[in-house]
Amino acid sequence: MKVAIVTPWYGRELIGGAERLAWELAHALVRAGSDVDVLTTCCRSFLDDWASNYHRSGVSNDGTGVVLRRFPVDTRDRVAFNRANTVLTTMPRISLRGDHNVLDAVQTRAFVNENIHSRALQAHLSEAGSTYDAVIFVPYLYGPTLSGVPLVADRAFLIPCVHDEAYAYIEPVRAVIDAVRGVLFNSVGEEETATAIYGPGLLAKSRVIGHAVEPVPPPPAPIAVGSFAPHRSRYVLYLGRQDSSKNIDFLIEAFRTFRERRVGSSLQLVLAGPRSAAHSGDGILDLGAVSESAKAALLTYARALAQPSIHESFSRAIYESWYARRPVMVHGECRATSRAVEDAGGGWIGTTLEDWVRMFAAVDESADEAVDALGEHGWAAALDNGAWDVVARRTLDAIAMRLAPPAGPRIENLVPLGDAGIARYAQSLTEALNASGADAAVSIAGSAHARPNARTIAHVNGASAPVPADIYVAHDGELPAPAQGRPVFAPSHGIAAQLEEAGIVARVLHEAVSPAQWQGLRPAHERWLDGKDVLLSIAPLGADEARRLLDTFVAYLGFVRDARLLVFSEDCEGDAYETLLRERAELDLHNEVVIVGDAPAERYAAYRAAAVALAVGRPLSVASAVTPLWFDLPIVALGDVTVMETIEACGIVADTFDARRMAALVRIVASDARIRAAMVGEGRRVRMRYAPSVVATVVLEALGEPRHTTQTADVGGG
Amino acid sequence: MIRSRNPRIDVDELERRIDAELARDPDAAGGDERLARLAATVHARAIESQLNFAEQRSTPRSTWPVDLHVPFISSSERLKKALLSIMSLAFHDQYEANNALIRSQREMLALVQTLQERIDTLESRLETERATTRAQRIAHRLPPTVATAAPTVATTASPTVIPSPSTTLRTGSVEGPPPS
Repeated sequence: MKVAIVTPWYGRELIGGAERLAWELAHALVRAGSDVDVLTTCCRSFLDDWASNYHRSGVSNDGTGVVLRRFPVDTRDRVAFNRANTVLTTMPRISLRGDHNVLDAVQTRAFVNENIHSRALQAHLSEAGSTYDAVIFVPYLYGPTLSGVPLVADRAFLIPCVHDEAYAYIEPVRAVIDAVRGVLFNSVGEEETATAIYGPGLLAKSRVIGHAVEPVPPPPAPIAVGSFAPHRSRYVLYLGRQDSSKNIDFLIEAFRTFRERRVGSSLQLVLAGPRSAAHSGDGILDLGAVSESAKAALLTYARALAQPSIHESFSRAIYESWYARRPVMVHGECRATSRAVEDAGGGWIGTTLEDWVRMFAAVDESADEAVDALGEHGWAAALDNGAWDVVARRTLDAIAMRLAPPAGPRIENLVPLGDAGIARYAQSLTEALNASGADAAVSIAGSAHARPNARTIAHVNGASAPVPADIYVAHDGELPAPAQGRPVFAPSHGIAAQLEEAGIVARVLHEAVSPAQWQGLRPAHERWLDGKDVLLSIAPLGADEARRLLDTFVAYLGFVRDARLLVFSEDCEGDAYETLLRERAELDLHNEVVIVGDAPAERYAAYRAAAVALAVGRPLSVASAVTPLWFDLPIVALGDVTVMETIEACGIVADTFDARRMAALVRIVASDARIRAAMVGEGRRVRMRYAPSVVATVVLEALGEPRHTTQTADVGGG
Repeated sequence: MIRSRNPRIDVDELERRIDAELARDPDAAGGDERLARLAATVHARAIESQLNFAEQRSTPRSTWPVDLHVPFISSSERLKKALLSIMSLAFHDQYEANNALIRSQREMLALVQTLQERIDTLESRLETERATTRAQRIAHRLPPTVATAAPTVATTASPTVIPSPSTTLRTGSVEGPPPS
């Protein structure tokens, strides 16, 4: 595969995260057998003048196989850029909301046009872009990416290195995310951050490739760093650039508070990394920049490592600490680091100052064995993370899958005539199979339209005529005779249990619910982003259920006066619609209860604005239950069959209806960050069962057409 | 009763928190009359739906539950019928008592709703009377030219009125001491 990596600055000596990633990945891709061109500028580094050409332009080869093409940078208006940049860097976090555009048109133009740019690099992409199989852009917010992606969009892949910062919310960045063929993330947490900003459609073309970290070998014998002897000290280590963007002030404040409360503690905070001014305080030791051997010693003997930054897409320091079997303390507002720690169980997560004070106390007072056990968990996660060669392999796989998934078999889904539910299920399965490379279609069982030489999946119910097939999907617990000896699937655990009672072993094959339908969509408006609590009804309603829903909402208004209820128009037809309108008028809830239109952008706006999804109506379809999970919405529901199979595993289910209790429950879910995180976290796991790629893999394996094991983050299209 | 298979959610703790939320008396709704009225409506509906549920379950069972499997009995229709008859007889008094309680609750609910309507009527009548009285007081206290003048006009026409920035007169909405 011929690959180009486009990055604004490139060089072995550069220490920035994206720069190191570009260098390591380029070499790993060459080792994996790819032809790699690095397309970069002549600018020396991020810290230098972006209009100054330090390196000579032209082509060179460093002897490892990487072809380096440097292009001269253009002149630029620094003042205009800095003005726009200042607006972005000083923007309060509260302004950063999902689809909200944070910068006006003039400043957006200044940020993009006066960024680092190279017209020569763009010309090369225009002329030679089609000679590459894939063009990888690293990272997302600089000129070469913003202006380069549109030139090679059909083969453009982006490694964004994104975290929750104002740059990520500007319109040109959204356009780049929409335009690229695929998005490759350093970590699951980074992918979650990006999904929160750009919506779940992104998941249909994204994949987590990881980010390798080489272990730091421990020193053969204890060494001193200046007058500090790590092996004789009890300390928490901070490793990295010491500046306010890394939240170092917060760390120091938390440690000072800890020491004030525990005067007798011997725990120290050791800061190691370049800084502009030294930090001091009781128990704080600032070593400044340290050598690699000193860093190894500090990591080896630390009690734990602190990573307080909230702006990370991946933290090398965390993995270096885990390689040294030391646990870490991370900030809960940084999804990339907190998700890594949560998954690995390799440390502590805290958000408030008090949390951090408590974490210092835990590090100080916990038994050595308990601290070491956390470090061991981290070590296992670090090993699992893999080396650069593994990352390169994942990158090439992800690119290949997006560009041209391996051709699969011809598959015919045979459905009985007149069953809309089965037809819908078969259609979603067909789309999932096609997205995985198969050539699948749906036809009526027994009709003459079935294609010859196709593998067959018979969707059957009790009334189905016997039909020969390679696979059977039993939709109501009964099977025709020819199914004997063939793989049998059931669309739910309930039907699988019924089949089991009849002596038939069936695996569950969930209906595919794809996030791809939301790809490239923008909300129809921002009317529902006015700060009110938004509840979204997701269940179909009859007249009684509409009344029940309004009762719950009115009870909710008793807790939160500024709230809004959104109801999809397709969920309330006929009697339900009339009842809803009449009761809304009677209760004078015109401003609070809104019927959401059927247009995709309108529905998208509703899902994006909602704080909680509420199901107090008739039984849900699988798609209605799973779609909110793609939007990271916690779900509160009245129990029914679908709810028990989908929502109960992650959300909260009420057995009986009581409007006030239901409202109180919704209130707690909407306002308690801990419970929301628990529901959203589990929801992410549950939704993967319905991901098209997962469903397709199960079927293809049953047909004897094995696929690569589907990664958690690889959702696939539909 | 709520449930969740989410391992990170403590359902019992959540139940306690729901009770605590409800104990904060959301019906009071911070003195907002509209919300208080809405909350009362929901309350009444909740009682009604519970009564409907109780009513459905208060009749003697005439069919064997499909998911109840009792050795020997489940396989015999006769035994099932006999057992249902015995149960019906044994709990006859209880059914009667339940029905009486449900009826009395329904009466109580109807009474509450009637009282609520009467309160609404009285409130609106009171409001009308208060407005009329105010208008009469204003008309009595102010000379005709001032009563229809701009709100910020201060006057010395009546010796009992001492206008100040905080008691500036507004036609039809004066909140001040009664005329001496």
